[in-house]
Amino acid sequence: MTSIRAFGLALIATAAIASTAHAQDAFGDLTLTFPALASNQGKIMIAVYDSAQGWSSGKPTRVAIASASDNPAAAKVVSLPPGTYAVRAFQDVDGDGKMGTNPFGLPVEPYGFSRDAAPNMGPPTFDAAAFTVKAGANTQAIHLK
Amino acid sequence: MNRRDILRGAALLGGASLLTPETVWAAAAADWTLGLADVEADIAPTALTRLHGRAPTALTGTLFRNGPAKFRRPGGSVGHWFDGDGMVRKFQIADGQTRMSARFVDTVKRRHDTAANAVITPGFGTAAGPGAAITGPDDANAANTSVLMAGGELWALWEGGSPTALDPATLETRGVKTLRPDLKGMPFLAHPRVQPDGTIWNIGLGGKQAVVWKLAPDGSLLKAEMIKLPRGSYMHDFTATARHLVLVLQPWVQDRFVMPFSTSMQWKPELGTQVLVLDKDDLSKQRIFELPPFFFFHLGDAWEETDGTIRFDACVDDDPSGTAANGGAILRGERLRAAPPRRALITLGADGKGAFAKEAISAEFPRSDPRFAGQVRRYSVHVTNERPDRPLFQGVAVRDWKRDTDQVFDFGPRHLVEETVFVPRPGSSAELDGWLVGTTVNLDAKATELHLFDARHVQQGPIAAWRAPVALPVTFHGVFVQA
Repeated sequence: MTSIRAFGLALIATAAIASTAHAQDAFGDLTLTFPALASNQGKIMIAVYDSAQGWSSGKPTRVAIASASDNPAAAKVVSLPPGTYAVRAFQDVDGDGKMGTNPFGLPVEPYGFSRDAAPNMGPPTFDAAAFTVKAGANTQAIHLK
Repeated sequence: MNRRDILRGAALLGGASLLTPETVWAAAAADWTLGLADVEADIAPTALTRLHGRAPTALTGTLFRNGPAKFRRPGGSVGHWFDGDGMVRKFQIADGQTRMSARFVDTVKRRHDTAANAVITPGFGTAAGPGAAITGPDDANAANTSVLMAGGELWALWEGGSPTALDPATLETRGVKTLRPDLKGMPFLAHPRVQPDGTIWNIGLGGKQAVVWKLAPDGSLLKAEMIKLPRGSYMHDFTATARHLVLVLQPWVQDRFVMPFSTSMQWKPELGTQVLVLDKDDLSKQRIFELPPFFFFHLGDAWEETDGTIRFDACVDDDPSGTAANGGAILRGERLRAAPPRRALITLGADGKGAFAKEAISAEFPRSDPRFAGQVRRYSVHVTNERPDRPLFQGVAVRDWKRDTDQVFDFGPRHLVEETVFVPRPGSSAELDGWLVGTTVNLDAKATELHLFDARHVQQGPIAAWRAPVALPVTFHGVFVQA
């Protein structure tokens, strides 16, 4: 996962892309919500992927941040070209900018995937988490565990 | 029926083929499978019927025991004895009466397998079934091996994951224990070593790395430190002296991580067995001893003599071909192609040389006086099976290391004898002044029984016994909590 600074820069880049887009209705906006959080601490770090290759090599096409203390906790990713995407997110409860793991590599902070795709001895595949973004408004709810 | 009788019978029949012990197991009534049957529901508190004798007035408290009690489901069953759902049993002894209750631990595994009507959760000898979604080791936690009292909570232990906390009064499951947020899901062996002052040491294994846990008597975390191991051995148990942790690294080594977990290991006797001794106060102070190759599950408490020699007993096999590899066969009432483990004494000299002395007597589930844990001691208590014509155990033994003698009580072939623990007489200080408390499955009565012995006179047999209204499958490990 990237650091908080990288997320900040990526947010600025996202906003810049949004402001220069002129054919707004050719693109999709994606609202991500995070219902039923066990804790309202920290930021939710979000990564959006547009390919299986990006997913497995950890190269997101967009990143976003939500605040766990907002009610509802949500983030909006704007001006996405319509297509297939998958999202992974974690809640940075301790605020260190990284997904916390135990010494054997098991995640210890809440995390989740689009379509609430289930991990099984590792993260789900891109296809298991993938959904379609169409022109206009799109929504995905992710339950972080 | 013993082996000699059967062999004589075969000779009389003039059969050309000699009946081997393995064939005898299959041929004889396989009613020992009662010790591996499924339980369908919790057992509400019930009085036990006294069979004979009296409980000494000073013996008051509760025996908690754990073991797998659900193995088979319509859509699929476990592949190994070690993968059954944990059920904690409670035997309360007070005013000469005994009451029993038993409750399944409410684990994620049990919920998933129940919902699927099949065992889909992977384990030691079980592959994942369709629909299994394991997000971490506690999704596979069977909570079925042992119990530990810590700070008024009863923890059900399973070596691949966290302890599971239960209410000791009701046996209700409270949930998985996280000892510190960044250590969530780190494993905790089913064999912690408890010092006489109540300090709890344990290991959590992950291939060639381990976490060393040090807990206060109330279960709070004092220290968690990572160590590297010279090899990734399968380690069910470790031991300790007052000053050291002692890790026995057998040549059954993990060379990958797959499920069923037992298929991750390879037997490599050419590596021999290594014993890693660490200073409790400074885990970087380490020594390694070399021993011949052997396979083990269980060790006794270790002790250090004045000249620095460390000794401990162990229950050893020549290789993993017994229970570890064939724990599925035993659930089908099939033969196990191995003799029971035998007792061995391991010596680690101050000169750096290790010695391994295997004895003739069969031995498993070693225990000793907990007030002498890590101290120089004289006695070991264990179960035995000198009749190889039936699996599981038939006798209780007390070993006197000082006099080089064994006292054995043989329950005979109609009992499945489970681990027997020592309970000190309140107010006493001499080693083994107290009682042995253990359970058996009586194959004729088809019932679980509780037996008390005078610990110094086990060969005289139980001084008191009670019988439950049901037979529960055999348990692995337990603790006696004095009232």
